[in-house]
Amino acid sequence: MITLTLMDSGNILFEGKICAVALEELHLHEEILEPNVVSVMNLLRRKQLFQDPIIVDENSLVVLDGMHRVTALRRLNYDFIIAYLVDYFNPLIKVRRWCRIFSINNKVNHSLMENLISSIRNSFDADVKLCKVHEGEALLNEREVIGYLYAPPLRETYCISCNGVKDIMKIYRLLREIESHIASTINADISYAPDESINDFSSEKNLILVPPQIKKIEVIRYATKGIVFPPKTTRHIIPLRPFFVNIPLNLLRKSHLVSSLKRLNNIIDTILLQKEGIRLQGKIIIDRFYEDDFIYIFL
Amino acid sequence: MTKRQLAHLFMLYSLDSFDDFLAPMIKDCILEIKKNVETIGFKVIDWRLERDSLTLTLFLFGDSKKKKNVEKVVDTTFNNKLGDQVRLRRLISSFLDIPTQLPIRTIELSFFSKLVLKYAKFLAFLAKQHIDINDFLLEPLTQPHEISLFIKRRERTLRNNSSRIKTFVQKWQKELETLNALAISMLYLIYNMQDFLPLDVLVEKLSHIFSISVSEIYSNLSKLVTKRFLLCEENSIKLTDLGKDFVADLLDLINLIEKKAIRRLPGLLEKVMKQPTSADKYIVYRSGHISRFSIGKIFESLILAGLEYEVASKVLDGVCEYISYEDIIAERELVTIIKSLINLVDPTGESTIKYNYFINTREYIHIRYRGYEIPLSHEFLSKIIMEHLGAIRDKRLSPALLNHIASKTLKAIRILFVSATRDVTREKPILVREELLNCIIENLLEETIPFYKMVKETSIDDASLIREKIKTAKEKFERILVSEDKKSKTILYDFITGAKLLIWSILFALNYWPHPSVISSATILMHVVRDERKKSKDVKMFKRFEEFARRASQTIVQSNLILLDSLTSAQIKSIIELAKFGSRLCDQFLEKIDSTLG
Repeated sequence: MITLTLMDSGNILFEGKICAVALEELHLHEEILEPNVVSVMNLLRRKQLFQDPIIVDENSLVVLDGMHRVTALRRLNYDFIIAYLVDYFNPLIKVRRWCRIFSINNKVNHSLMENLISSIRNSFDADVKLCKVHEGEALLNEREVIGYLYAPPLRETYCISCNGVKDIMKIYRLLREIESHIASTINADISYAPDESINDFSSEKNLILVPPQIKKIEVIRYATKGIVFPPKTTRHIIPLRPFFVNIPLNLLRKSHLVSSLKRLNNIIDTILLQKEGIRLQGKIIIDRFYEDDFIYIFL
Repeated sequence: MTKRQLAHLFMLYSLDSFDDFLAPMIKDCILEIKKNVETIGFKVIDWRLERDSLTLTLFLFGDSKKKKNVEKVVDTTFNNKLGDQVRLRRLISSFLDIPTQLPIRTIELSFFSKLVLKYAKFLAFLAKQHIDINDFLLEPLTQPHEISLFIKRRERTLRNNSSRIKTFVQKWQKELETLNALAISMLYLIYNMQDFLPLDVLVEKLSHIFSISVSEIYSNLSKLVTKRFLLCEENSIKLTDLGKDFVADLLDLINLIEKKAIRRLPGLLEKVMKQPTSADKYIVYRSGHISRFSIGKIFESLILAGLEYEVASKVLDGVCEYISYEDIIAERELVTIIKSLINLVDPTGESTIKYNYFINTREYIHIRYRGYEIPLSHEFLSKIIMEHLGAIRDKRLSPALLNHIASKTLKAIRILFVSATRDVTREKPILVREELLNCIIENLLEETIPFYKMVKETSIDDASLIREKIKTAKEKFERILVSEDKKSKTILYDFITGAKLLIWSILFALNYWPHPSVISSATILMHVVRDERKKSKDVKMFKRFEEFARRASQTIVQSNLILLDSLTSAQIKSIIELAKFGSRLCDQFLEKIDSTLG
């Protein structure tokens, strides 16, 4: 099994193993978006290669990154997928949140905010209060509120709470509805941004909905029960992430040649050993922005 | 003034397509990029094109603060020089994490490390048990199973060199007693990789090769440090002089034994014959492609490469010995094994050069074509062949025939220039002139593809050519029907000629170049007709074509399936029936030609 390692002064800080796993054993933790699955299926059919390993917690087999690839391969009747098995509870693996950015054509002003807040109150029986950003964060951490709305041009923050809802799954499902409600009420386009970069979205035409920070244990607890969070609930940062393993898709189906998982992993090791690996500094754009510290490329 | 920070920059581009003309075009771009980036303090260290993944990678070195400028220069050069011919998209541009960590290929080392591991186990056993090598060889029962398998083939060589083995064991007694075999094999890898490597990179590579956990690797490295074989400095590790001495001594011993043991192989393919035929072994390529391991294919490649039978058979025996316990073999590992064995069996290096030339034809032979130097490849030849055919008539060629002509041409050019291969010091590839290649292909097509020469040399149009050929075909069929001696093989000869001309003409009319073999042409026609039938209104005519092609090929095959030199009455009956059918079909087809082609 090909293991990627980060060490410091002789101490192993992090390791991840690249190998094949049975698709049926994996647990998803987020809902998929249908257009994304279709696009992944088309790409797989065209390239006939599985390019980048999905990220999976080795102990629970919960998929941390790669829901669409898992779903696409399942629909295409494959048996295996290439995964990067990691110890999710390694402190170097970070789970972060996605802030919802609402962009409108006009300026965000007091009247728009008053109308919006009133409609959220009425539609969701929610309690929406003016607060400060740090108060909002503290209340979110305590799960006293389900999220807060930040209006950059007004420098105003509104905490949203809903009938004492504290369960993270319920919070995210409620937020999904609130998210759609806001978008339709103020006629906004939605995009998602890492919470660390919300300052980049402080335009006078933007409104930001900040959700609570999810915990690793919550991800595992729900996923292993087969309950999935709405899309864009988690954002995982892996210290060392592999790319471009480029394994032919025909190997991911049981056959005379691929008689068992052990055999397949033997083949995968043999393929990857023939490639050269290089480690690059992370925080770069490939098909999207990767916040990981390092990335590992197979050439 | 800000201080310059030097770093290795890695850039990865994706390509939307790949053909053999692309490689020299990219090479031209790289030459210009080299000049352009030099002006901003960067150097292009390496670049490569990957066909399978359609990617281009570049390694550059220079001032890290000028990354954006370099990206702009590289992107602009590609855009300007390649234009619309190929679309390049930059996927990655990032600095290498550790400057010294350029790609390190590990697979070639994998085979040798396994061999060293076997020796290490054997030598450590001798040291730990304090057994004399000669006594050990005399008592097979005392030998652990794994070691007895290892010494089986080398027994005589080990006995003949027992004094060298004793000297080695005595010199390194303490070390062999306390170190395990894995640690010794790891020393060999560190010796071969680089003298200085960042610790995590080294540990990672070792864990890949030995397929064991990082912690196990690390614990062995710690033992080697304790034994003063390795020196650990912060995040790096390197061999001490003692470590270097040990590995050099060990490698001397292994080389001596292996060289003598391999040369001692009888070359009677005895190892090959002993291989269980049911054993499923597979070769895994870097691209992920997998093919069944075939000793016959290796033998064929060695003979085609021009190796003497004696060398080839000894090499084969050696290959079987080395891979006997593996069911999955990496292609690169296999090539390493074969090359090492060839070197041992023929130390002059002549055979190795021949083999290298054979397996790396792309690197050895380039064609100067339209101002570019293009590596000789099957794909390139296929393209040129289609261009030649297209210049005469815009017709299709069956992929099997194209593949056949391209592969034979490639082999022919390779053999033609075999005398031009020199030793490993050759710097430039063999350059084949465009005129020569064109001449070979043209001549080959004239002699191979039916009607090609006639169409090329005369101004005959398709309809006239078909009429002429059909007329001859009909004459042949009629001759069978009026023949008085139907038992003679002349009727078979006439039938094959008539059927061939009729099938070729139909294929030609359907816009296909015929195949020189009548059976292959009949098969192609059956496939083509099935497709054409869907588009055409004249389904009946196509059904007749298909039926004639099927029955004609069956009759020809059955006529060949006889030991005695005379036709059976059933065969004669079938030929006469088909001659009648063929004759009618010629008339119908001529009518069709007159009404469609004019």
